[in-house]
Amino acid sequence: MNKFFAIGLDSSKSDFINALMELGCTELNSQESKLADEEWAALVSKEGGEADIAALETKLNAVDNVLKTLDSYDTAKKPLFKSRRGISASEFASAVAAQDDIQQDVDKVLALSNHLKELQANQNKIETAVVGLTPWAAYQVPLEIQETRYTNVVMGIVPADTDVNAMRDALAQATDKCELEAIGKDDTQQYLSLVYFKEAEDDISEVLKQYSFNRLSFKDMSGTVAENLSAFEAQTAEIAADMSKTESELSDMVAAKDKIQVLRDYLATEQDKAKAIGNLLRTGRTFYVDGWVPASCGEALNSLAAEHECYCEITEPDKEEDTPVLVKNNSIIEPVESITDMYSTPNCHELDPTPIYAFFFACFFGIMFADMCYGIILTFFGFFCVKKYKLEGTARKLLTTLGYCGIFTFIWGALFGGFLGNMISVVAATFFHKEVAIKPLWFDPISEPMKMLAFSCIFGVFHLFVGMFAKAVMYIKEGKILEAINDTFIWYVFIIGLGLLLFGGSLFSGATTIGKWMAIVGAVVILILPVFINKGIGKAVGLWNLYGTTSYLSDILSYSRLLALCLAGAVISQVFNTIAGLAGGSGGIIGVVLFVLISIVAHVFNFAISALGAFVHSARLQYVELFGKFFEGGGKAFNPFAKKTKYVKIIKEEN
Amino acid sequence: MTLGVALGVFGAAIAAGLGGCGSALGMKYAGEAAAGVLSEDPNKFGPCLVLQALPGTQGIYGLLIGFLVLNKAMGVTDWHTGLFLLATGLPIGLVGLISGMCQGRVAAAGVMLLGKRAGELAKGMILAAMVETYAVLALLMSFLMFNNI
Repeated sequence: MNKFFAIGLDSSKSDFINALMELGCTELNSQESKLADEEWAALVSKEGGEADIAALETKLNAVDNVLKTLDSYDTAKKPLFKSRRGISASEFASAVAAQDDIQQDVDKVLALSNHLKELQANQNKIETAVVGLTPWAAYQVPLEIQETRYTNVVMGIVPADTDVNAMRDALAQATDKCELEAIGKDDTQQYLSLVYFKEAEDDISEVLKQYSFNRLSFKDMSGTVAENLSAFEAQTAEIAADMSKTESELSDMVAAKDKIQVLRDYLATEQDKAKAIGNLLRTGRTFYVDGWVPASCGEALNSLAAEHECYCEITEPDKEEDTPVLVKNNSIIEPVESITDMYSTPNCHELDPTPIYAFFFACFFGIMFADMCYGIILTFFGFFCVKKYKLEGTARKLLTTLGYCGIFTFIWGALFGGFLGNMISVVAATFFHKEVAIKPLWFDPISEPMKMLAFSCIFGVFHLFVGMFAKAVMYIKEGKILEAINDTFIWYVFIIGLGLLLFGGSLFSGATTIGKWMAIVGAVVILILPVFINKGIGKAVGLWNLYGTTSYLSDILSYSRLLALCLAGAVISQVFNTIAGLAGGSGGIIGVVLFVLISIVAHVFNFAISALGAFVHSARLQYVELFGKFFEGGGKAFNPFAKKTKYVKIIKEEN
Repeated sequence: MTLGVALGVFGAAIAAGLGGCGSALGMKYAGEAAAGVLSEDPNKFGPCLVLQALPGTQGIYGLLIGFLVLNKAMGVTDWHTGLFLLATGLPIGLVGLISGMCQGRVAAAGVMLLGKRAGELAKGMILAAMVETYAVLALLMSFLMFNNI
């Protein structure tokens, strides 16, 4: 990764940025920090252009909203995975040329969806009003009449448990100048109409208060309740018709979705461009930009700068400087980068761990999931999805990785003799009363768990040694040979020695003695070496390092999960098969159907839970045990300035 | 029915019962947290479900040992073997219960992490998987004990 800066004439600014975007292999730095520097600030100012960016942002938001709206009216079946549609550059260009037409579609959808929202609001309003009016359906007086010359006409409510007759009597006692009528009643309230002479106001108010009479009024309405209700009904029907019409128009607009997606991507790239231009530093007639470019693209950048009459200089960064990181691997290993990315991008001073652990990840996954049938399904699923949905980016990488894991699952399944657990034996015993078993190519971990445990630990030691070797390589690259020996090679001697000392007896005679001497030599060197490497108190650090043996022990034991998960998956399969076999043994067609049903449900469940377990634990073995030996991470991924589209992939045409 | 059979069945009950309890509690914690995050952003259902599923393994380990022990317990004639089978159920039962609960807590925290930062599923998963290590070791122990009867 190299640094570059370019200075050019103001007139070619926008062309240059355009070309950089097409090239798509430079990362532009933010120039804010330079403006804080007085020397820079005296010479240059920021290009700005916030208004353009904001205008594009508004447009982009509108288009995004429109796409969201159209999505909800799109009845086409949604694919399992989203992928970008490929279109040719000329198609894209012609769509951009017709952007005014597309914008009209966008505006139309916006207008329609706004209209729909209005209609919904109206509908809600009417519904509320209808709910309020319905109990008054029997009220005959037009609602606008609230008083006459001598009387007040009042509507009101009292609680449901009020005795209206008693209330009427009480009113009659207070004055004879009023008339109370019950209009309706529901669970909580009674609806009353009251007419009284204005002069009797004082006489009745006491009684009304006593019966907690609450006045209501429908000031903004006119006509009788029945008239109002029927008018609302008509309005509701009208709104419903309008709504369904608007919705069908919106559904028709779904056809324009593809074009609008192109517009959206165009606007997004324009906005990115505007932001890049806004970020430039400028003097009166020139502009300045700097950033990062991968060494392999330097040539292309130079010629591009020359074309646009820019001065461009590419320099190597200082050793200490943190640069963005672009990871490059061959096409087989590259998908596994997704597992590295889940942990962290490597930092710019260390090795990319992907090629180191890619094999182990799939292999350990395979051991834990080991089953031929599961392996075939997983492989097929992974590669099929990538092909079928033309996946890109992380989804493609992850599914391809799963495909690899599937291959190893099949291989280990064959080695351990698993096909849906012991499905074949169970089917043979249940339906054909014969004894058939798949012979494992290597051995059956269920019947020989100790052997499997030993091999798990041996795989683990090998895995750890590879990690330590990577550390040694990094030391040697920096010329620190002694450190490499101290951290890696002497530990090889020590750990192998300990292993031979403890378990070597069963391998060959004399192994214990060899192991003893290897362990002793290893321990002594581990104690002494830091004296030559470190200064001061650090000379005694060997003692502490030797104590690190415990961490190696726990690391190695951690690999016993290879055995545990392998057993869990296989035994659970067998348990399910046994249950299915019991059901199938009941005989006849029903038995077969039950057997198939139980097997499918059980194995789908076991597949899901075991695959998840295998993935997580295989990842953990890489992240914790392997990465702990040499990998730090925390790098910043190279983020090139390029066309970042969401819906369409622009395919350049060969001329 | 002999005392040996009873003890063996007891061992199976401890393994499957406590392991299942651990998973149920763990899934409860993670599920509650997931529902909270989903109320904000329903699109995170897939990753949340994965995190909720993580504490489910203890129950399966327990079931596994329980099934093995139960099968063997039925043919036990002396109480020594029965007691041995009871002991076999203990590691995965006890560790399954505790680690399931604890893993659920970590998974719930992972769900919260996911709520704030959509791309960090892997980190939440790995943190939760760290807790599971001890359930795996207990399963291993139970299995080795069972194999040595």
